[in-house]
Parts: sequence; structure tokens; C-alpha cells
Amino acid sequence: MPDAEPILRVRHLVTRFDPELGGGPEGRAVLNDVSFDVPRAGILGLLGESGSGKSLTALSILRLLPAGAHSVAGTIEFDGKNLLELPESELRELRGRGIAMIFQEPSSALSSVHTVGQQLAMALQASGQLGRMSWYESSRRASQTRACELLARVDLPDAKRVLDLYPHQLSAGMRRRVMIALGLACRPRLLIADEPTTGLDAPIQAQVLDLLLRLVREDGMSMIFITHDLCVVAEVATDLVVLSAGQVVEAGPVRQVLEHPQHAYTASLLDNIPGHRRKPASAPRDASAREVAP
Amino acid sequence: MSSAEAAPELDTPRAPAPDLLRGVQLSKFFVLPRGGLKKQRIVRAVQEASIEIAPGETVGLVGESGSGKTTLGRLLLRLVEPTFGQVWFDGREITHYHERDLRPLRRSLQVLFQDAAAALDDRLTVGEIVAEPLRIHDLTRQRTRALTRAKERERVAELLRTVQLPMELSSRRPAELSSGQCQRVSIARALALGPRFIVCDEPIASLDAVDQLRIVELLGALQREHGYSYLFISHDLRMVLHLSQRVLVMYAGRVVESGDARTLRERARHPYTRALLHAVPEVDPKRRRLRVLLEGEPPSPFEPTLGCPFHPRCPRALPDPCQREAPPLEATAPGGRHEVACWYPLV
Repeated sequence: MPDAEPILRVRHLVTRFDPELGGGPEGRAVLNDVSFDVPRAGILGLLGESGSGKSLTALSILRLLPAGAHSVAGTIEFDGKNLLELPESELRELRGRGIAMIFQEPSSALSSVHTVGQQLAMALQASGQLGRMSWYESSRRASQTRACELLARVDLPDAKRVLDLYPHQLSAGMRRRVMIALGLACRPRLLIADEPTTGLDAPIQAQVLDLLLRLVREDGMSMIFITHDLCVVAEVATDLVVLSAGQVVEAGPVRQVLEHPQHAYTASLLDNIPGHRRKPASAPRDASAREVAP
Repeated sequence: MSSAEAAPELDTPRAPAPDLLRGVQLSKFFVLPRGGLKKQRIVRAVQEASIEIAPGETVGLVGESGSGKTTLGRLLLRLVEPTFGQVWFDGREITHYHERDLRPLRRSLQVLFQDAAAALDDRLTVGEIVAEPLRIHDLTRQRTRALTRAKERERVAELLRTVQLPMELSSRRPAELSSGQCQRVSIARALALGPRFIVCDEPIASLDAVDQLRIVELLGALQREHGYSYLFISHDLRMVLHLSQRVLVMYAGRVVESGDARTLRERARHPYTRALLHAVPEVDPKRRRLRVLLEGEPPSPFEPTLGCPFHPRCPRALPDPCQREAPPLEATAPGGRHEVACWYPLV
């Protein structure tokens, strides 16, 4: 039973690149009037092609946009605060603890010169869970307790050994699990997962999806799940927002959107799944409602 | 298992067409040189894999990363030398052909790589990329240089039209193209020499859903028109079953199951193939109920598993013989085309 009050409310968000980067006098708009809610303890799927603005939506929420991009209009409400107007110091408090992000590409998001244990220690320290210690001091002690716990939570076997490994010594699936552990380090209330299973083989993808769903349920977290894969989103999400060229073209509970897609883009995605047959009854929705009562 | 669904092109038994390409008991071991304190290590990338591809046929090759799919594709193209086994093309054994003798065959054997953008020379224009094989194989030679160039331009325009790219792109460079366009350019390049067999190595893995389908449609249309044979390599079992007439499933360098696509979809007998089928995300929640999560990860190629390579992850494995001996790949019925390597196959 999702709470009536959503955990995150995005309204009329417009994000643009600076005019110097092309796209006319106002600059190229990468997000145009984007609005959606993330229900409390729900999973919002954010679906779209590459370049549709999925990742930029996430970065707009955390105000981590690349140089030259700015959110110029709209509101992003989290806990009654508009993130777009929050001072940087308060936002820093919020990142990781309030809203955490699992970045898309572990090979670039993880540091290749620090061990898994050191990276976890940095995250834990940044969130103030280790008191006043530098990360290299704390990495020893943290590795004994909290970091091990985190790795165990993401089903990494042999956590103690993994702490001393570098990312290149891990398999792709293990790197994803480390990314998830980092995202969970500060016990966020909202987790943004950007393509957390893209590029994984199907069996490993199924494991990671299963893990994410379990963690979200256990912690009562809310999640934004960003993906280009309709089938994945159908498995995990409770609600769905479809983005195309920076605009929301479809939104609603996931079953409803997938069974009765209103937008041609969503319908074409559904038709493109090999072996999937969409029910032809998408148009006369009203007519079928009458047949229910005997 | 109902067979009532209409899929006549898969059901009709074909006359055993002479194979265009055949790999016989192919193995490839890579020796990693010893470095520093490390010992010399041997990677058994492919072990005793056999494969036949008929003219105009699409054979799918699925498996997780590291299972040896790409190496098997390269073995068939003679891009890597087999440690054991033979490669036959068009009735001739080409296993020991020298590069000089292979050259004419290279026109018939082409490849599409997974990362199309990386497979294209980023300093050349699209037109030059597509023209390069024509020049190397001297296919557009005319009496004068100017005539040759004109002929070349004509052929490039024709190829770009075939892959549905606008002619304006011929002066662009790969960095200016989308990933879907890059893959079309590499298709045009592969078609330039009039191939008969194309290895498609994960050609759609890095594309968006819509681009994926367009590329797949294009490859299908080209096949219908020109009768190309494809080896379609992918980790996406659903896509492979959709596209191929026959499918081979690889695990840890070995073929563990092979058969008609339809047979594998409905009556896969190897626990690994079943697990792959179930691991595919489903839009329809009813189909998800069967799912059994496969635990663990594929074995490291450096540490070969004793016994059946799948036994550490297999829900059906028994100490004997699964942990002691690797099962042979055997037909499920005498003379049948459905083969499985499992001591206790599913029914």
C-alpha cells in the first residue's frame, strides 16, 4: 500500500545545455517539462532509448549535471524540500543518505587504484558512520565490520577476501554487486539505479535484479530504476515513466502501461520483443469494461 | 508440448544440404606467457566444438561471456588457428591454408563485430571505409584511375543504399554517426565483397531496442535476397531463438546442447539451456513463475572444472559421474539433430 505522499515529486523539470554548446539562443533542451512521482516504497521504472534523457533526469535530481548543463525550470521535491533551490551544503548531506545512486558503468564509476575495502570505507566515512578517521585509517577497521556486512548483503561470497581486491580482479557481476553495496553504504531512502544490469549475461542479470528487489523490500527503500530494456522494467517496476527525446510520453502503473500503451513509441517497443504478442484490445478500452459483471 | 503453433518453415525437414561451412571437433587453447611471478597458464577457450552451417541458413550461438562463442566464430573464419580440429569451406578443408591461399576466400567470409564504432577506422570517412575492401581486393579496377574512382563511388552508393543509409553520410566519419548507423556501415563493408557467410558477433548488443530490430530486419532481408549464411552470436537466447534455424548453446568452451530453434525453445534438455531460457526477463508475469535462479558464476577459464563444466551450478548434479567426468555431446534420439551433453538430461 503505497503512501499517498510520494517520496519524490518532479514537476515541469527543464534541463538545458548552455547555448555555447549549440542548439540555438536558449541552448539545447535535454529535458523538457518532465513531471513524475516516485511512490514511497515503490519502484519507478524510467524507460527510454539512449539520449532520451534518463540519466540526465537522475543527475538533475542529485544536481550532478555535467558542465554546461543546468536545470532552468521546474521543481524537484524530496521531503518537502525543493532540491533545485537547496544550498550545496544541505544537498551534500542529502546525497548518499537521502538519495543514493548506483552509476551505470562500474568500470568507470569504481576507482581502479583503490581496493573494494578502501572504496567502501570512503563511502562510509563520507556519511559519518566511522567518526573522525581518514579513509586509509578507517579502511582497516571498517573492513572488519560494516564493509563486510555490506558485501554480505549483496551476496558476495567470501567478503573478507573481496575487500582486498581491486575492481579489475572482479567479474562483471561482482563489480555490479560492489556498486550496489556502495549505493547502500549510507542507508539511503531513495536509490537511483542507472542501468544496473545492462551488459550482464541473463543468468547474472536475473541474480542482480532479484538482489535489488530484495534489498529494496527489506529496507523499505524507494527506487528509480533506469533502463532501456522494457522486459527488465516489466519485472521490477511498480510504476513506469517512458521518456523520449527529453519528454515524458507515457506514465502510469506498469501493468496498465504495458497492457494498454497509449503512445506509439511504447507500443513499438512492445511489438519488438521477439515472441511477445500484445493483446489487440488496446484501443476499445471502454467497451471491455462492461463485460465484467455477470 | 504442443506443436500446434504454425511455424512451417522450421517444421519441414530439409534435405541434408551440403554444408557451406563446417567446423569439426575444433579446439583452441591459448597459452598466456608467464610474467613476473605468475606461472604460465593455459586457457581452454573452445573444446571439441563441431558446427555445420548450410547455405542460406542462420545458426545461432549462445552462451555467457567467456563461454568461447567469439573464439569459435573466429576459428571458422580462420582468424585464429585451431589447436585441434578442422575447418571446411565449400567442400574444401581450409584448416591449413596459408594466408595467400585464404585471400580469395576472405571475400566469401565476412564478420560483423559487436562494437561497430570500434571496428571502424575513425580516421576514414564512411565512403572510404566501405571502399577499402574493394580496393584491397581490386574489384573496381578500370582502365584509368578516374574511371576506377567513379566505379568505386558508384558501388559505395549502391552499398549504402542497400543498408538504408543516406548517401550524404559517405563523407562523414564514424564519430559523427549513431551506433545504429555505425553498424549499418560495417554491414555495408561486409557486403562489399559479395560474401557467402557472415559471422555476426553480437551485432545488436550495444544498440537500443528499436535499432536492434531494424538491424535484425535488415540482416533478414539481405539473407532472403542473397542467400547469405549467418552465424549469429549472442548472449540473448530469446533473440537467437527468434532469428535462427538452429542453435548451439556453449558453456565454458564446450557445446552443451544443439538443435533446431523450435526444439530448444520447447524441449530444451540441458539444465543450463533451461536456466538460460528462464533467466530472460519477461513482460508477461505469468511466464515468470517457472524461474529458477541459476546460482554462482561461470567457471574461470584458467581453472578448468573437473567433470561436467556445469556441475557446480547445476541443480541436478550428482557426485558420480557429474563431478568426475565430462558428459559427451550425444543425440537425444538416434540420427536426430538434437544433441545434449548431460549425464541426466531433463525430459
